[in-house]
Amino acid sequence: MGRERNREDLQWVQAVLQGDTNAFGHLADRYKDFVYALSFSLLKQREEAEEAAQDAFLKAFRYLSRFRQDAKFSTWLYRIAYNECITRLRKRKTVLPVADGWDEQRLAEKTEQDEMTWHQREQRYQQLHGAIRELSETDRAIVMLYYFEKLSVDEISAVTGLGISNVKTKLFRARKKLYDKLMRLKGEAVSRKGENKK
Amino acid sequence: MKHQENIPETMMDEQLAGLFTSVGTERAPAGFTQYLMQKIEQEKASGFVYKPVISKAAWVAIGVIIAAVILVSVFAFPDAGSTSSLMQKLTGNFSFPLSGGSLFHIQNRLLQFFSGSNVLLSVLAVAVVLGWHYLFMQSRSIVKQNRFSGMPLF
Repeated sequence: MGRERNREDLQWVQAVLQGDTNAFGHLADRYKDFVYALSFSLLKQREEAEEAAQDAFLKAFRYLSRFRQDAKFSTWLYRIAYNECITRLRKRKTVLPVADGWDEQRLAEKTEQDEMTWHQREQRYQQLHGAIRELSETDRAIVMLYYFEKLSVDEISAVTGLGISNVKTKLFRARKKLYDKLMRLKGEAVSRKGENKK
Repeated sequence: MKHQENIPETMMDEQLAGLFTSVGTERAPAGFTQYLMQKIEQEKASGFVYKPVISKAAWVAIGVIIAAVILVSVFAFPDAGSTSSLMQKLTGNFSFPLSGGSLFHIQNRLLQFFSGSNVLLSVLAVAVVLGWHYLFMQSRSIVKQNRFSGMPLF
């Protein structure tokens, strides 16, 4: 499936290089969600994440001729997005507070689903993304790339520019931190329920 | 996710992977692709092509021309350019005991050439122009970036 996806990506890349700008829209549609999610995870601000994601795609479009087609387009694009976010973070003078996970789009989904299921899912969503936001910037990116995009350690190394052993170590530590945090949150939720019953 | 003490890493990994898959991730705002394609179309229409003003080939050509001018000036017109007294002393020191060595002869000529005030001024002028070009291009890209970043989204 991954190979098929990459083959399709390369066909679109070829089409763009031959002058079919609209083919870039297919690439954008395919990767916009993760590029935005990665940007939001790193920048913690929706508007800035959107700008960063837009700029990453624009850069990918401008420099598409530089993309070596023996690699995966997604890895190349994620590297651009990651670098864009890191550049923006370096330019920032103030540290932003942790953003809440509320988003109008997510609230809109509520009407389409069973109220109870939506709340359960939303609670787990908030817990997971809250725990991810507590990780360092690099760890956040590594976790996102590994679990959401199922990238291999080699590919994560290519995106972040970190060595393979470094990625492995960071992933190991981040995984442990994330797991412990989620377990703590779960324990707190269970004890809160118990108190409410009393 | 089931909580277990001292859980093996692979199990922890599986549990987290399951949670990530079930929960999902952030989604790009509605109209993201449309807005991006509008930007791309605008950029194409403006004819702004992100290429360096001086290409690699042009830089090679410039280098070859400069080298040729220097070599021709040194060897074809050895007396061109004025020399300072300091340089005269230096070249004099170099030349008198080693008049037979061709390497020192070339060094001598080069020192004479570069000590010429016109040549030094020209080299400085070229350096200033190239520096200005670099700064101009940088500020231009920053202005463009800000223009895009400052645009209202949707």
